Amino acid sequence: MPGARFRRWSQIAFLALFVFLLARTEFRGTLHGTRGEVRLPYPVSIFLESDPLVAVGNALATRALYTGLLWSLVILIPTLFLGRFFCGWICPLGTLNHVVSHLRKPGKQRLESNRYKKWQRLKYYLLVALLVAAVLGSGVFGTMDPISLTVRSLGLSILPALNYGLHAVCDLLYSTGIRPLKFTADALDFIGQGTLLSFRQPHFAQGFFLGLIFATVLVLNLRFTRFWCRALCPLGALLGAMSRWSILGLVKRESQCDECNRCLLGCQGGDDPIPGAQWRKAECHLCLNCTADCPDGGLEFRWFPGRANTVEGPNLERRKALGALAAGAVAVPLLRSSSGSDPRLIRPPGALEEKGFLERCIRCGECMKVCPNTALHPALAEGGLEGLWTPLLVARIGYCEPGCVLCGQVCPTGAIWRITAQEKGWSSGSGKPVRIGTAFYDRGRCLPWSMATECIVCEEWCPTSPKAIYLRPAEVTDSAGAVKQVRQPYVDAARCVGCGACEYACPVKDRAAVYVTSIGESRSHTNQILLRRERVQPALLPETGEAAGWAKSGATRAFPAANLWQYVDGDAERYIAAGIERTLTARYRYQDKLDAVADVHVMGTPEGARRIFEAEPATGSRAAALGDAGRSYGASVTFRKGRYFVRLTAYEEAPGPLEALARAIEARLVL
Amino acid sequence: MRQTRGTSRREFLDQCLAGALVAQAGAPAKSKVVIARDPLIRTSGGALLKVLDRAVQAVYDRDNALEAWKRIARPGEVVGLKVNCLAGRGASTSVALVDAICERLQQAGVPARNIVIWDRLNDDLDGAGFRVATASGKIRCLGNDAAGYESDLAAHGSAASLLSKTLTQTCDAVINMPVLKDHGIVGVTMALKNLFGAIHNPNKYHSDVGDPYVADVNMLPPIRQKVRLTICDAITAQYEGGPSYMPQWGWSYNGLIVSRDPVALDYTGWQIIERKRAEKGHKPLKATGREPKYIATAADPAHRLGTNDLARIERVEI
Repeated sequence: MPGARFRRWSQIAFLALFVFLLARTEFRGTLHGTRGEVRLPYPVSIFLESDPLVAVGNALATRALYTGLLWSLVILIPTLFLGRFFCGWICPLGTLNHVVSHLRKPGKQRLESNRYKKWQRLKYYLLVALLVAAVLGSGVFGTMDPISLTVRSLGLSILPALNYGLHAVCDLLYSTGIRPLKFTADALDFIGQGTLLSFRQPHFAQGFFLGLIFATVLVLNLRFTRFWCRALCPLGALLGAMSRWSILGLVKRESQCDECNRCLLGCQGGDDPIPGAQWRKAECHLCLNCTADCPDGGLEFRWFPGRANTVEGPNLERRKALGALAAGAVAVPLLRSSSGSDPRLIRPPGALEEKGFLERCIRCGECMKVCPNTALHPALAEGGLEGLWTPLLVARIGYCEPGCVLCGQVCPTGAIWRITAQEKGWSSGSGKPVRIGTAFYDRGRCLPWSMATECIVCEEWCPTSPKAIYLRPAEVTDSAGAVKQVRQPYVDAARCVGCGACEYACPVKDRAAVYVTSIGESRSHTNQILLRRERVQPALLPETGEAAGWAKSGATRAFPAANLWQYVDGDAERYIAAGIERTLTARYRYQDKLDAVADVHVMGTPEGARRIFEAEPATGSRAAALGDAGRSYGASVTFRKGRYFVRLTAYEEAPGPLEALARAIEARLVL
Repeated sequence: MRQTRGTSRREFLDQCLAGALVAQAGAPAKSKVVIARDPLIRTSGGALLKVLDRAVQAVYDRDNALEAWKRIARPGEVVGLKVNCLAGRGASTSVALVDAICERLQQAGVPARNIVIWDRLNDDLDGAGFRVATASGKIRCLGNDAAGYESDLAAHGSAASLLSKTLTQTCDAVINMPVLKDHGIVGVTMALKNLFGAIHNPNKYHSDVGDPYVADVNMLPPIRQKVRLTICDAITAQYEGGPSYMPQWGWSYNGLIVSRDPVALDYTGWQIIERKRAEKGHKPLKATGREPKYIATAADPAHRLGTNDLARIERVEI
C-alpha cells in the first residue's frame, strides 16, 4: 500500500531534517573574526516553533502568543481535519519510538501490547495538569514536550557522546600508524564534521541523566509499542483531543474480516483497528499500517466515515480529570515552595525577568546547544524545582562571548529576547549593556592578593570597554620576607557585565579566585548591588564665561583609573600608585588666542593629591595662592585642594589668565 | 722543489679574499645618527624643509634630496607616518613637520593615497592638531581605535599584543616620528618607545622601567620589518615630566634627529636629555631610578635592533 510507504518516507525525511537542524544548532566559525551580526544560516528551532503544545502552553502561561509560534498552525489546522498525522508522519521522537518498537519480533506479546489500554488515558490527565500549570504561569510543560525532550536529549547528551565516541575511534585508528586505517580515520572525521558532529567537543552538566531518561523512553518501546506516545506524550494528547473533529476516519468492513489480527500487529497508536472493538480516533497515529497489513482489504481510511464503531474523544473519567486539574494547580505552588535563590543562577543575556522566564522557557536546551563556548548548562535545583533544565551560565566551563547573541536567536519562545550584539553592548562600550551578573574576588585564593605573585589574567580577559577589572599596584611581602610590587585586581561593579571570562580564565584551576554571581543582572530590578550603575559626576570643570575671557572648547572627558593610560599612557602609573579615582579633562581657549588644557585628577585621599603635587619639581615656579598649595610655572599652573590635584597647561606663557581659570576650577571643588 | 714553494697563486688569492671578508666582518658599518638644527625651524617652513632634506640626505648619503627620499619607499608602497600625539599640541609630533614629510614623499613619487598618518587614538591626533581623515584618494589620518587591531596576538619574549591594522594591513613602510622627551617611567621616549602606539595594551609594559618590554615590542615582526626610518621631532623637547606636556620642563632644541637605527637614535637622544637635565640641575635619570635600560636590551645579542655602542655610532651634526 502506497500510504504506509509514503508515511515511512515522510518519517525518514522529517527525522533527517530534525537531526540536521539540531547538528547545525551551533556557530561554525570564529566569533573574533566575524564582522557584523552573528547569525545561523538555518531556521534551527523550526520544529519547536511548529509545536502546538509549545504554542498553547506558551499562550496560556503568558496570555500572549509569541510570533514565531504561529508556525504551530501548520500542524494544528490539518490536525482538525486529519487527526494525529503529526505523531505518525512527522514527530521525530515518534519516529524513533516507532523504529525501536519495530525491533520486537511479531508475536503474541506484541499483539497484546497493541490493544488499547486504559492507561493510555494517562497522557490526557498529564496534559490537563500541565496546561493548568501553564495557566498558573509555569512553562514546566516543556519538560514533557516531545520535541523539547528530543532536542534536549540529543543535543545535550547523545550527540556530544557520539562526538566523543567517534573522535575516540578516529584517534585509535590514527594511532595505529597503518595508512589505510589512518585514511579511514580522516574520512570518518571529515564526514562526521560535515554532518552530525560538533565543531568543538561539548560537555553538559546532567548529560548522562538526560541521556538515561531518553534511553528509558526508547527502551520501554521493547515492552509496549510507542509507550511514550501512547501513555505520556502531552503533545499527542493535545492532538488526540483535537482530532475528535477530524473528518478522516477508519472504516471497518467486518464482513470481510477473517480475524487474523494482522491489523493489530503493526498498530502504532493502540487504537483498536480490530473488528469487534470501537476504533479510537484520538489514539490513531494515522500510520496506515492496519490498512496495509489487512490481507482482505477490510480496513480503509475515508473522509466522513460516520460515527458508528468509533470513540471520538479521549473518553476521560470526570473524577480523574478533576484530579489532574487539582494536581496541576497544586504542583505550581509546590514547585515554587523551593524557589531558587542560588547566587550562581546566571541566566543568558537577554533572558526575561525570572518569573517571565519560567513562564516562557520550555527547557528545550537549544540555547545550550548553540552556545559557542558551552557556557550554558541545564540547571538542576539552582532555579528551584520549577527551574529544572532551564539554562544557566557556568562560567568555569565557558564564558558568555561578548559579540554572540545566538541563544536569543534560537530561543523558540522568547524566554531569551532576541537582542543584537549592539544592544548587548559588551564590546562597544556605548549605551546601556545587558548585564547578567557581577564578578567578585576571593582574595584568599587570588595570586596577587594572597601569594605575592603577579597575575593579570582576569584583567586581560575582561572584554568590556573600558575594562571592568582594573589593577592597582601594591607592595606585598613574600614568604622570604622580601617586599615586592604586584598589581592587584579590583572589579568596577558599574562596568562589570557578568560575562564570566575572568572566572573562566582564572589560573587557579580548581575553584577560581574570581567568580560571578547573578547580582546586578539587568533583568531584575531587585537583584542589584548598586543603586545606580553610572554615578552622576559633579561638574568640576567650569563652563564658558565662568573665568573671565575663557571659553570651554570641548566637552569634558572622563577617564577612570583603569583607563587613565588611554589619556596619559606612561604617566598614568604614578597617579594610580597615588590612588587616583578618575581624571576629568577639558580644553579651553582664552580670548581666541591662547589654548589650554585643564586636568582635574580626583584622588582617593588628600594624601594622594599631596603626593602627586610634591613629587613634581618646583624649580622655575613661584607659589600661587590656589587651594591648599599651588605653583605657577608661566605656561602651567598646578594646585591641590583636598583630594583634588589640578593641572592647567597652556601653549604659551600666560600666568595671569591661567591663574584666573585655576581659581574658577578651585571654586567648583567641594571638599 | 715544487713542494718547498710557500703559496700557490690560487691559495694566495683565496687568502686575500678571505682576509678581506674577515676585515669587512670585523669592522661593521657604523650607525649614522644625524642631528640637524636651525633656530628658524619652528617659524619658517622653508627652514624646516631645508633641515629635513639635509638630514635625510645625510642618512642616505645622497647629494640630491629627492633621491634620498626615494630610498624610503619603493613605487606603489603605502607609507605610514607613526606620529606621537599623546601630549596634545605641546609635546607631540609637529603638524608642520608631518606636512613637510608628506610633501617630500609625494615629490618622491608616493601618491597622497599611499600616505597614512597614524597613532593610537583619533582623539589624540585631533588634540595634537591633526585632522582625522579616512577618505580614499587623499592622505589618510586615523587612530588605531578607528582602524582596529588584529584579532590574533603577536608575541615576542615578554610582549604579547594585538597589533594595529594600520601597521599590519595598510602600511608597507613606516617612518617613525617620535618626540624627544623624558618619560616618567622608562626614562626617555623616542624611537623604540613610540612603537607602543602600535599595540593595544601599552599600559601593560611600563613595569621594570619598560625593560625588556620596549625592546620586545620592537621585535614583533611587522614593527621590525616595516619601520624604515626614524625622524625624531626635537623642535621642542622635554627633559622632565614626560610623556605628558609640561611646558615648564620643555626647551627649544630646534632640531630633528634622523636615523635608520632606532637604538642609536634613542641612545643619542638620551644623552641630549641627560645633558639638559644636568644643565637645569636635575638628577641623572639613573639617580631617579629611570635609566632607560631598554636601550641596551634592544642592542643586546637577543634583539639586535641596533647599537648603543658609542664607537659604532656615527654622529653627524648639521
